Amino acid sequence: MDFVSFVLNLDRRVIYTIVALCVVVPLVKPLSLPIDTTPEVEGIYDVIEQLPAGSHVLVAGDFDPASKPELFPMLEAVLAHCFEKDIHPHLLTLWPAGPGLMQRAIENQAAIYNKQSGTDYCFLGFRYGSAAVVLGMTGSVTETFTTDFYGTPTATMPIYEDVHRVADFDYIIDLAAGATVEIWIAYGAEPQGVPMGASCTAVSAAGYYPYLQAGQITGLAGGMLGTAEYEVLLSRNYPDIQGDKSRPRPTGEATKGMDAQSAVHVFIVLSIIVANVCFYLSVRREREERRKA
Amino acid sequence: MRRSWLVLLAILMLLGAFSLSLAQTTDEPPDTDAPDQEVGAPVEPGDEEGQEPALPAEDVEEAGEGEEEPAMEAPGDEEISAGDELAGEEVAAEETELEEPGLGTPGGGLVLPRPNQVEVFDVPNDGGAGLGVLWYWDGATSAQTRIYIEVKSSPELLDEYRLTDDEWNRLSRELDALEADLRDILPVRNAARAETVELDIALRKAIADESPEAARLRREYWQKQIVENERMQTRRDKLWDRLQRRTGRSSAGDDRLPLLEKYQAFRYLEAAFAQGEWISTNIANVNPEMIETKADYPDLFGLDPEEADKLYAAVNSLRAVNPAAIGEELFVNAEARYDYQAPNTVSIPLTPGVHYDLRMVVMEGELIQTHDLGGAATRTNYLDRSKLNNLIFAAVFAALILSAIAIARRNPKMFIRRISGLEAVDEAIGRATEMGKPVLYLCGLDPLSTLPTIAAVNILGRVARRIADYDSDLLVPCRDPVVLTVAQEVVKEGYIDAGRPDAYREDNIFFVTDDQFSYTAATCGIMMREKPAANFFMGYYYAESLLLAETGASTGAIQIAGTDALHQLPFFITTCDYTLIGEELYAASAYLSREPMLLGSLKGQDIGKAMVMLLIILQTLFFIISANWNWLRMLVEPL
Amino acid sequence: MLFFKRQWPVIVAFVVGIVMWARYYIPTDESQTLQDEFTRWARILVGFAAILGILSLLHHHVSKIRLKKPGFGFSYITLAAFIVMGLAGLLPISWRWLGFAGMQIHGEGPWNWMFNNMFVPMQATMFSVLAFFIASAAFRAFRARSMEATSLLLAACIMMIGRVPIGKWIADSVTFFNTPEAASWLLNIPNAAAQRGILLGVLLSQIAIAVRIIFGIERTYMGGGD
Repeated sequence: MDFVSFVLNLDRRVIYTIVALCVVVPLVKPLSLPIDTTPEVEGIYDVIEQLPAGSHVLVAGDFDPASKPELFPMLEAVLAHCFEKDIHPHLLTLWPAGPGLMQRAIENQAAIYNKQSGTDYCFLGFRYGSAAVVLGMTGSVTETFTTDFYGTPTATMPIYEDVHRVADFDYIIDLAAGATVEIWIAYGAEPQGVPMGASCTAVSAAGYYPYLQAGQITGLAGGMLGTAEYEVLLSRNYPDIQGDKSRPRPTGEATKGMDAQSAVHVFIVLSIIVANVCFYLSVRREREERRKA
Repeated sequence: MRRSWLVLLAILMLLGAFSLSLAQTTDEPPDTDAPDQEVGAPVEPGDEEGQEPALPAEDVEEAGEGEEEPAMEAPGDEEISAGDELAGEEVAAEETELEEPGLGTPGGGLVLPRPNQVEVFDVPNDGGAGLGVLWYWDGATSAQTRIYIEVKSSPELLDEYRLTDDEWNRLSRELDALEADLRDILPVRNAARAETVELDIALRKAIADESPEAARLRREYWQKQIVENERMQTRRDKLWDRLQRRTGRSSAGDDRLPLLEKYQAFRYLEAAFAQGEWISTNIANVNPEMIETKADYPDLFGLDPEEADKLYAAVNSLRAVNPAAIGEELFVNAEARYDYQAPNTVSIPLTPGVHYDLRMVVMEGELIQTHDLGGAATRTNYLDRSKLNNLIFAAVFAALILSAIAIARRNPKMFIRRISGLEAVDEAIGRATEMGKPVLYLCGLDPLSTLPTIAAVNILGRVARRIADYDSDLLVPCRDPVVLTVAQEVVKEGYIDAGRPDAYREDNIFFVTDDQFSYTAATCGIMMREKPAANFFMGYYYAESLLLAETGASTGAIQIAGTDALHQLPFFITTCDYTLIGEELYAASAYLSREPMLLGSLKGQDIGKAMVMLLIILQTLFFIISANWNWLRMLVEPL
Repeated sequence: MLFFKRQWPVIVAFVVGIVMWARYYIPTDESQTLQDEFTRWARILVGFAAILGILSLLHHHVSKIRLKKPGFGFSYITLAAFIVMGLAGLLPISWRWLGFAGMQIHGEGPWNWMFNNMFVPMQATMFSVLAFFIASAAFRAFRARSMEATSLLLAACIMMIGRVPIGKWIADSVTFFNTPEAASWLLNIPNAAAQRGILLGVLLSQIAIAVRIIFGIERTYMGGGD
């Protein structure tokens, strides 16, 4: 069997093994490739950066553990950014499997920044209904979420003194593994006149460029690269946690993962090129054999 | 038939021209040159006919954090009304000399910026609870300048919130009942709350020290926190809900505020008016450099308004301070009796149909100037005119679809171009029959309320009928129980229509799980075990699309996919034999059934798309030749 | 009875559809209250659908066990997982009751542990299988058979290299071809244009189906066709 046939009939498991190596090796031995930021991600970062202290940001974590590597680091980065600027994040999720991850993120960040639930942030949890929940929040947040995730009534929370409905928020950011970005745009951000940003999985990112160009979202962080860019922006402007030089900001998970992603992408491109070259050679060979015959 | 379409197109163009002319009449506020001219008929006290129906209340209660309203007037300062010359006049005892040039005049008098060309009007496109103020500055503002817009008190304004005797009796009765019921609850809850805090500290210490006392402390903490504290709190909350429910509507038809909030608003306003003639609004302590202009509100003034740089502020609520500030409590011992803490400030929405007189207070340091702005009456607006273009488009498209369906019913022989994926349905089902293997059909992962799933279920009916004709097997694993129910009915109908009710197997359409990847794993397992000869992936898919399609490809099945999930299309195109892209999914149902309703709808959509394309081309042309195309933008842009 | 099965749902759909459509253009407080009420009802109904899902799941797997259909062993595992996770979430079970006195996790319980240590890794594993499938699908199916396939291939390669840091590194170090810029151009110009076109078509279709449902022409949602 010559090389061309070998490549064209290559067992899937060989490909799986190479992909596994491409993922594992860079994670064990980081390449530390530089990451440039793009205007799409800066569109989210700059808006939050310009919000004054005491602003309220609605963070919708509409993802589940399947999208954790891409969106969980973004959630932590956004929360860290909000806490650095004394902005109050209000977290919620429209996905049933979302609360567990959001709880972990907010409790981690609240512990680092010493923030209190009900005063500095509020984790509202999950409600069934998707678009119905967003519509309900345009009327009243505290009536849609009468208690937070921990069972504390929201109506009497200090954080809800000035915020009653979606229109009172200063920014909305949706971390979406599914199609919730359209729901937030159509029912939340656009009708209520609240600026909005989106962070989504890489596969969904291409579909949100029309919204970005129409100005319906201020920025778009697509996939792990978008999250890594946000982490880079955060580290660049806030190298230490709360300005304390003894607590430098650790490298984000998405930034670490970009090395592995780079390796896998290069492998896939090379394998496509090799496979196509071999395919072309095999087609030419067949044509020659037919001509001879 | 062509003539009918031309007539339809002509009607639509006429509608478009009409809507254009409507869109050009933008909602500019009536020009009021003099500050004290009013917009709309002022409502005389007691004039019930002039009053708009009252609106249900929003919760006006604010739990204050000790936030203090700034003093309405700086103590010791005199008010200066508009028109007074400031040069040579002493403004205040502690006048601060301003350093910015232009603001000082020889002789020591300082001039703060003053509003001119003021317009006060009812804000259109809102529910009737806002007054808009437009003005220019005469003079320069600085970062230290602050403005307040205040409303003049009047007995009529206070009367809006005064409780009638019946209302007061009702409220008192309910408060007495609440007090009686809380007598048993509050002491237990408060004691439990205090003990919970101590127990929590002790428990954490015991855990940290790994003390054997931790188990006992945890039990006690549980008892206090959950059984006593939280249960009592829940009972307290239910009693308060009962109070709100029973006093939610006042007797005289004014159901804008629940009784408690109405009484609270009355007492707060009474206290505010006792302190001064003017009451604060939501425009308080605002830096004028943060105020936006008319151009920033295209939904109110259009895309290209006159005087676009005029400043705009909307007054929509009154701000009043807790009467306790002047020594008058809302209720005696409210916290002990009702577990109620009156907020430090409340925000009371403006009432539709009431005339309000406004003034602006300009402050910088210790300098103050006041200016009468005039007044206007709020009006309930029943149509949001900024959404008029949306309404016209929606009505036009709906009319288009319905007309097209009506035309299709009279003339069912309509042309639809060949959709290759659907031509292959017969081939796929035939292949399955020959191989003696089942056909696998997936309706997507979204619930039935979404349109791709409805389209998928529609196609399922047609496919089921063909499968019944070919005497093949159909497997439909479902992710949503409602989809399951409908799919079973639809498949059953398909078998009945084909005259094969005996061949229908309800067990072949089954529910798997509603978790995304569990469903995917189960379906892949079915594919590997049953090895269906044909796979149909119709509906909306997420990340599992490639898993499903690649697994199906590895079993050698012929695969037809149809989805409007843009993100998953590349995966289906790569791995499936035929793919219906986007709205081909919706067209597929019409193509398979040739039903007039579906065909007509499809034609209507095509005309709608042609109209959108025409608008895009027009906008592009206007942009290229730099013509004024704001009239077109008014038609199509969301304002 | 047939009236309630056939005509009544159509009447309800029509009335509610028209009312909620009109409500969008009316800015009064009553209008907002109406929307709040309807969305509250919708949230309650959707909650009941969750119960329906649970009952369907139980019914399906119990009957599979009872009839001993192929693969019924997996149904035992499904039911066991359902019961354990359900009880852990609904009841205030502490670790001490389960005999793990040493594992004191203040504020956490077995449900959180199972979610974080079982559910999250399993779901992440299923999703990560995609990476391998994409690699094998790309290797197997991406062939430059025609002009369209070749342009698709080229675009895919540019995107894959341009959207990772190594693309910038390659552009700076090895070649002048700036893949990140090319990827950005592809996303912002041809991709956005195509997505916009598809989006417009899809949304018009959705309007058409919504109009058909409101006016009672489309009745598939009732089950059983028109």
